[in-house]
Amino acid sequence: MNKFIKLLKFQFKYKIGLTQLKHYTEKKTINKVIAAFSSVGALIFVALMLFTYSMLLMVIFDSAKIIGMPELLPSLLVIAGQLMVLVLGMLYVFSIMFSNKDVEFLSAMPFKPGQIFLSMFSIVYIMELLSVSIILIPGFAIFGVNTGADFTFWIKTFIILLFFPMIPLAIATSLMLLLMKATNRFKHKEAIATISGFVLITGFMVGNSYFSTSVSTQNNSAFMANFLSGKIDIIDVLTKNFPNIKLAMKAITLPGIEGVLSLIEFILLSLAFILITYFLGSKFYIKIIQSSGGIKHGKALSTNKIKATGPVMAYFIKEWRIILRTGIYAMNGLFSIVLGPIMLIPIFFTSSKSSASEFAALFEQLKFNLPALTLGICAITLFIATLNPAASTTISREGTEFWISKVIPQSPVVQIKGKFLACLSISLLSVITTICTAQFILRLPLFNFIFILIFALIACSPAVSLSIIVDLLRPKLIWGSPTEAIKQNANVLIGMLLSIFIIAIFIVPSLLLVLNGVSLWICYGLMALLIIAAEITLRKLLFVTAKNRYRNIYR
Amino acid sequence: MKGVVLLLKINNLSKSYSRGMKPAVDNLNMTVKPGEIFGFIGPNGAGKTTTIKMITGILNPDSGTILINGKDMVKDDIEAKKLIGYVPDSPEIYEKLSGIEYLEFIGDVYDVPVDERKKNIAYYLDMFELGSAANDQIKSFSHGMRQKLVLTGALLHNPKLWILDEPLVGLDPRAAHLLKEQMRQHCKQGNTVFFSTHVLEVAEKLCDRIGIIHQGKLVAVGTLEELKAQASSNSLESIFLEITKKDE
Repeated sequence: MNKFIKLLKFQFKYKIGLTQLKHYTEKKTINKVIAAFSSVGALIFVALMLFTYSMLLMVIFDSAKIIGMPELLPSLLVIAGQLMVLVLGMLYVFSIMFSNKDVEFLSAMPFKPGQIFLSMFSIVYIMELLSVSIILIPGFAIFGVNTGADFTFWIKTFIILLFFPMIPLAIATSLMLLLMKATNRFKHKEAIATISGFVLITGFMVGNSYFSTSVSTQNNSAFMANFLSGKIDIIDVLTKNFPNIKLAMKAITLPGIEGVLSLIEFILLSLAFILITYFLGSKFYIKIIQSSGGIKHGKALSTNKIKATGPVMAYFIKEWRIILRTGIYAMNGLFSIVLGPIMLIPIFFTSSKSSASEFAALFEQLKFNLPALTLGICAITLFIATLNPAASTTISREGTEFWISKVIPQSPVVQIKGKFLACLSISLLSVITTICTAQFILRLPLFNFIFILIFALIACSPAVSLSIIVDLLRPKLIWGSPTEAIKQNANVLIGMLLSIFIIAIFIVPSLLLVLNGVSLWICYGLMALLIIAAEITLRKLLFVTAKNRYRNIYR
Repeated sequence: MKGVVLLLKINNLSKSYSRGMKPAVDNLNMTVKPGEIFGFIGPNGAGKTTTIKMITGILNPDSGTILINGKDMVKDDIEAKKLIGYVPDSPEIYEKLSGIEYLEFIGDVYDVPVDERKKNIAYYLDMFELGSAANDQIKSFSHGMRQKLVLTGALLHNPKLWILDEPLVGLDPRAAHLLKEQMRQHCKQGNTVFFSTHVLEVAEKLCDRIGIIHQGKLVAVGTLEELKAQASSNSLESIFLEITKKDE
């Protein structure tokens, strides 16, 4: 047990980045200042977000209280929280447990397979717990304070919170274990696992959407009448397909022995799920990791297939191949922004007819100012397309292999052109899928559809340049697993914030002019001018930065 | 050295780490002629890899110049790099690519014509017995197989200067023998081989000239006979031990 605790402590410090932070701040005084300022900035940002979020929760609580259902707030939060743990869990499990080189290293040490599995699972668990706590605590606090809850409520809520991620995370882990075991025999197993994982997540979203419609399958007015008269138990309705959520909600909202019994049931159910997952993990986890390597000789080489291409295209192809074949890169850098929008289509289909018609009615109301709506959709499309971690980690992802870029006889500008094209193509794919999804759901007039498509496609380029510049200026070449290169890389956040800034510069002036009745063509012209100016400036800046920085980038 | 075309000429080369506190390479001067095998030896941390990284353009020197066949590695780096084939001490290459995809990438960025590329790939993969694994992802390769792939990539464009950092580490005896043969053959074609090693027997048998680096300085250079005469010792091992013992 002592060995397991030591392993867990080490893993936690390393994975959360405490070891790296300590090393970073010890190196130079300026690093300490940067770390301090970044921490203060992050704290202010989190505080502001929490304040806004709490205000929103207050509004929901007040509305729920008016209809005599104050427990609606914690109930909704528990449902949202469990779904979040499930979906995020699959991503975390994939990235932390299956994309890590150090598991192989650990498996050669005197640890039992179960201990290694449990230490990795615990890291995921802690991360999930931290993420979900931010969502749940404000809501539980609002409910507790405003309903004058006694101390048993706070104790029960605290215990529920500690056990909260267990069941959805156990399901996510078990599914990923089975998925990785099933895909391990294939040559392109990582790509298959990534796509299957994505389909699985989409399936859950669709399933959730489908189940949530069952709440209002009855005649709406009859349902509302029963609901308001208290004939319908909201907890039963919301959780009829999820017994674990039902127990958690009853434990929180019901007073006395009934609440305590629900809490005990919830804990026992959670532990049962964890035990099953531990059994599966001890049996399969290390075997899956160990069997994922190995040499499987394919067909003998035929040199007839060898073709030549230019250096820019060579870089472009190499980037795409590596992204597609590295699960965590594909999941975060490609599928999330390219396939993410498409996920909305099946969810839209499975949502209830009434919500679809309400949505259509809302859209009809917004159509009174179609130019402003078009600009808004354009902004959302660009926002999704420029959330492009592939661009803001394009140098970082080279890691130990960056020496190749330094010894090859191609200028940094040529190399960056290849990388730029690869990243831009991802953003362009995202624009196409987002706009097609929007068109499918909203049925925009053809002119507006074409306008958004063209403007968004052109406007991606400066944002991609900006993200690559960020990575050129501060590449993270030292990492132990691809997960660290893309998920624990501050360049992704910086690139995202700068992209939002640049999108605002493109869209906001035109939007303000449109809202003030200025001719549409003038607004579109202004937007085009801004995009072209940014494109020329940032592309030039990208090449200058590449030229100046490449020589000074070392691992 | 007047009248002799030097393939590698290093003048007053220096490089420090930790803000100049720790000189890794200290005012190094060295020349390597075409057609010779030059062995670069020294204790751990003597500055061998740092020197090699500066010659290949991976690290920037703090001061000094590196000329590859007359091309300055700092001022005219692209032209200088075209002349080099580099094999690092650790074969860290794009492990998500297959062996053949990596070689195609190298062929593309070194502008190797298709016919020459096909011929060289077939020749070296056959020589290193990698043909049946070339379609597999590099991540499934052993250390030795990766090393062989990097060797193939480095020779694809038939470089004038072939630089190898500890090339024998991880190679099986047969592959090590083949590599040594290949180094000799490369020089017979008028090219140059510059390599670092800790295996003194190999340096002794293979090299035309040997340079010994210690604490960032080139402390001895010459043919084996010249070194023996300088140090009045009979073997490279005793010369090495005697020279690197000083100042410790």
